[in-house]
Amino acid sequence: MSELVEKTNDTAVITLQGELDVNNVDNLKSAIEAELQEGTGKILVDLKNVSYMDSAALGVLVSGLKRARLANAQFKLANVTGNVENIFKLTRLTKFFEIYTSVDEAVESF
Amino acid sequence: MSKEKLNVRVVSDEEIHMSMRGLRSLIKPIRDKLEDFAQENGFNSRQIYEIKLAVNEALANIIKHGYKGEDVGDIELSVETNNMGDLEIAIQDFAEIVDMAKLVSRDLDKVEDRGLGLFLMNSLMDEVEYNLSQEKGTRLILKKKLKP
Repeated sequence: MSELVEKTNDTAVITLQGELDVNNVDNLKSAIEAELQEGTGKILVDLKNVSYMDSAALGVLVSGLKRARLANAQFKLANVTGNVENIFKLTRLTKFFEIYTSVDEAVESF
Repeated sequence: MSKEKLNVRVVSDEEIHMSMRGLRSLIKPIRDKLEDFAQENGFNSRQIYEIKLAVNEALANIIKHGYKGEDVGDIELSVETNNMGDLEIAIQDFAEIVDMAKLVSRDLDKVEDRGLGLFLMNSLMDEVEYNLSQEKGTRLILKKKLKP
């Protein structure tokens, strides 16, 4: 798994790639935490190139959403598709997250 | 057992055995082996993802709740299909027996990050059984039908 953070003004787009699981999810946790610490008000996580997520990875996103709410920041997701989308639906996380079909659409929504 | 290595013994196209130290870094190699095995035995992409995720959650739970940390104990898996093509995965650990009542599955009406693993494991497989008959250790059986 690798992640890239692109920042423009008050918006951070965290782009993830590969398999996200209990063994590597601390990187994502740190990236989200760093943005919240810096006071970033709009955080978008792009899952376009994520082929696999386990519950630890879902947990980090849920935790990110909750922490963002506490910090009055917005936390959104883009490109939740395929098998990853099936797991979001199964766990009903789709009803908690604002999910967009592209990064552009998500960024415009902020 | 070599610590950082996944040991694999192929019995036949329909049966493999694996053993590993309880390390999170070995969960991905297990997933990769399961993917190959399930693909060769006719499971589709969605089923394969579900099998990998259920086993991932089982192993992560053993390391976190059974062994209470990494590199504490061993885990053995046997993976086989029966004559109907259905998959059975037995996961044996040697940890103190976990009180299953204390492991709570997630309440889906709340935005919670705890309990997701157990919920997923139970939801993604057709059958989940725990065999606690031994003094130490738990044998978890996960079953997935080839044709739902």
